This record gives sequence, C-alpha cells and structure tokens, in this order.
Amino acid sequence: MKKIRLATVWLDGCAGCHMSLLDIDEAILNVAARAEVVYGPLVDAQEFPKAVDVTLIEGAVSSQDDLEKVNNIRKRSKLVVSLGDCAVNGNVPAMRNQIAPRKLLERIYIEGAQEGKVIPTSGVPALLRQAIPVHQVVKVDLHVPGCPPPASAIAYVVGELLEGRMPNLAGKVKFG
Amino acid sequence: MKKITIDPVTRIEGHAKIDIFLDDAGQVVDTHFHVTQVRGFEKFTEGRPFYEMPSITARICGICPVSHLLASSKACDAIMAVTLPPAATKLRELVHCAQFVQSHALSFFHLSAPDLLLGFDSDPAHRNVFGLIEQNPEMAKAGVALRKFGQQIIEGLAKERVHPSWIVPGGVNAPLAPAVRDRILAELPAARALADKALAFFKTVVDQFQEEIASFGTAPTMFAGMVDEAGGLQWYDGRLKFKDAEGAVVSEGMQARDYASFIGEASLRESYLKAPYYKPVGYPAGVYRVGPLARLNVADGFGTPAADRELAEFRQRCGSVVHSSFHYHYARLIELLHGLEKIERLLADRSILDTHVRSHAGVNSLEASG
Repeated sequence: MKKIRLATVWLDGCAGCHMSLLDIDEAILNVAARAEVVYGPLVDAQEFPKAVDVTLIEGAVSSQDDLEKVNNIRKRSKLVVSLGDCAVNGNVPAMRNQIAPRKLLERIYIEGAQEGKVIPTSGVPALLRQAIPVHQVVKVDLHVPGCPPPASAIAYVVGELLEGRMPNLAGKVKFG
Repeated sequence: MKKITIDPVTRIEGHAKIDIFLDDAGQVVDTHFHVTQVRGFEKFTEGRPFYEMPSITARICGICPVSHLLASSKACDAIMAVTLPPAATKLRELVHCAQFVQSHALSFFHLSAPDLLLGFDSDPAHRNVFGLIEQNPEMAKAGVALRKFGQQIIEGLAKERVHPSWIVPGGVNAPLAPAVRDRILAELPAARALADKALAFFKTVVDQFQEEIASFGTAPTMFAGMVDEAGGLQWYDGRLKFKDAEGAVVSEGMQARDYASFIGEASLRESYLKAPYYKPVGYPAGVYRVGPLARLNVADGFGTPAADRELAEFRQRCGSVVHSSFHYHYARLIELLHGLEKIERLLADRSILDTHVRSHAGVNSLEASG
C-alpha cells in the first residue's frame, strides 16, 4: 500500500500542537505504518519536498521566512491544515501586533540586554509587521482550532486524512 | 571561503540554522548559530494583569509549559505574599517531575536516539523516530511509553497535558484524586523498568562515541543549577549555585528574586536568542550552562538511591566536572530515573491527597474608631 506523504511544520508557534500530535501515544505506530513523514521538526529533510499529500502547519506567520515557507508549502501540498490557534487565528504570537516591530526589538535587545545591545540582523529573518494566521496568506483546506487541539481530535483528523476522507470536526474542537 | 548552511537544524526544540565557514584549505574558520524566531513575550505582556502571566508564558513552549507555569505562578505567589498549603507544593513538585520524565523521554528517544542508535551518518530519510519505529521498535516503544507515563500524570492531575491551567497563583486548582494516585503507583514499576533498561543500554554504547565526546561542545564554561540547603539537586525550589569550569563554587545561596544582580543577557547580531551570563564575571567569560549536565556538575547528589548510584558511576566514568556536551544524554537519563524515584516518594506520602491546595485570601482585622 502506497504511503501517504505527510509533512508537519512549526512556524511561529510553541511546539504544543506537535506535542498534542505525539500525545496520540502508541497510535503514532499506526501513523508510521500508513504515512511517510517527508518533512518537519522530527525529521532531517532540509528542503520542503514536492508532491506532499498533507501538510499540518502549526504556528502563525510572523517572519519573512515563515511567509516564504508557507507559500512554498501551499504550492507543494495537496492539502494544507492549519493546526492550532496560532495557525488558525494568530493567538499568542499575535499579541505583539499592536506594537511596531522596531519597538518590540528595541525592548528585547537594547533595553533588555546588559551587553551587546544590538538588534539581531545577520542570518535571521526580518519580522513582518504583524503575526498573522496561515489563511491570511494561503488557502487552507482544514482548520483545527485549540491551544493545543486535543490529541483525540488530532488523531481523528490524521486518521481521516490518511484514509482520504475530509474530517468533520463539529463538536470535537474549540478555541483555547 | 566556502559556506555550509544547515537550515533548518532539525530534531531540536526550537528554530535555528547554522552557517559554517571554511577557508580554501577546507578548515573551519568560523561558525554561527542563528536562532531564527522571536515572539516578544517580554514586551507584549507589559501592562497585563500579573495573574494572566502563567497562562501566557506557558505558551513560550508546549514541551515544557509546566516549567513556565510553575516559575510564573511562583512569581505570582511572591507578589501576593502568600504561603502555599503543603499539599500544593507537593503537587507542584509532582507535576514538575512528570514533566521532566516526558520531556527527557522526548529528547532522548524521539530526537536523539535516531543519531545514537541508527548512526549520525545514517540515511537522513530514515534518521528519525519513524525510522526508529521500523529498525528498533523496542526502543521506539520505550520512548513512547515513558513520554506517555509522564504526560498521563500531568493529565491525571490537571485534565490537560499541554498548557495545563491547573497550575495557578497560590497553588493548584484541584487536589489529587486517590484513584489517580493509585493508578500512577501501579504503572510506576513498568516505567521504572524502561528507564533502567534505557540507561543500562546507553552505558554499553556510550564508549562508541569517543570522537563525539571529545569534540562536541566541550568548551569550558561555568555551570548553574538550583539546590536545596544540603546542596542536593532541586527542580522546583531552592537556591541558585554557580560553579566555574574547574568545579570551584563561584557563588551559592542566590535567590531567584535577586536575579538581576547576578544574571545579565547579551544580545547578539546573529541570533534572536540572547546569551545569559553571570554578571560579576562579565560577558563572555561568565557564560554558564544549565540543564541536566550542569545540574549534575553543580549538585552534590540527587537524594534518591538509584539516581545517586548512577551519579557515582557517572562521575567515575566521566569526571567530577564534565564539559563534553555529549554527556547531556547520559545526564538526562539519570535525571529521568531520579524523576521516577521522586514521583514514587511524593506519592508515598498520603498528605499529598490533602484537599487544601490553594492559599486563601488573607482576612485582616481592625478596630475601627467608633
């Protein structure tokens, strides 16, 4: 049986949604049997591959890197899933959105440092004006809210998607 | 000049890339570690009510939210100037031990074991937990089971595994149900057996990594950890202790609330992560390591028998002050064992079932002039 090509990505998130995914415990063995995980924090691929069947995206789009990544992911994935409140509506990363990025960086790296007192610019991506949900940048096929979504909901979503069905999340998820 | 870029650094708990610069002879002349994410918690929380901080700061990390919830709640306890009921402190210690078990299991089995068991140079397409499931299912299942054991304790206490809102200023939200305590105690021997097996196995293979041990992150630094009055390791509460690279005590008895006087941060041009350092020594000489290896270097002992036995063997094999960052793996497995012993000890004391688990608001009495 041909394995589904599955990718997981964390953008501007806390890894909590990935932990909730791992909270399916032994069911990960079933996922491993049905899917090939071709990209993500748990595997070593350096390039996001082509022809991915399902990509789970955790985290808001907050930096220039996140923006380029999410566009590339959309081009190369059949289905894109926004996993968790940060991807779905910005959530905690979006708490910075009332603050100009310059002011944010000055507080952290100038006022908040006793040595160096320099704003990082070398080899790090620039911040976008705001941290935004994934669907504000690309079309999203499925939203799975929660902070994080419960493991049971993620197990259901992954199970359905691996069988080629679109999950019905009514009553299974909520924000927060 | 040639540049090799690793982007992203995978199987870490965060976002990073590495640039390595080689000269014409192919020798490394410089290397930069770039942390590529910043969210700005220290700025966007300004002006918010203090009691929101545990829930907000939990979202710094979904792997160790318990640590952030506890640190933040302890700060709230101090702001409110409350004394926690004894059961609350024990329950906070219990949930913290559970987090250490699940987090250390994740780090060792899911993130590191692919290198250690499948090989650092094995096929990248399979050098991951899924490859481990295929090629060494017993080890993969042990990792899943140990992580699950820790997470189920958190869930049993808090009804949530990630970002548990059960940890609050003044204590915790609900007492420990006797049935949950009994279930944990019943499952403890199996968890303990897995931890013992993993550590025993690791000790048989660690000597195969002499090259890595000799070269991986071996630069001498200071070390910092939290200890109790007797100098034993403490994860939940205690005083901070700093040692230098030779193992001499630089300072001890430091209190967290005075942190600004002895901990500074240096901002770096090439990373969104700042570098903390011990202020009296300055930057960069005062850079200190924390975490499992640092704690083993700083603490006199664990105070639980199996972990202390393993610690004695660790010191005999690796030295009294260990610099090689490769030995974080070994230290982490000993800590995992200690976590399980501590969970058993905490649960053996039935006062942990006490139902008074949150400080009450004070009542003041005054005579009004009449």
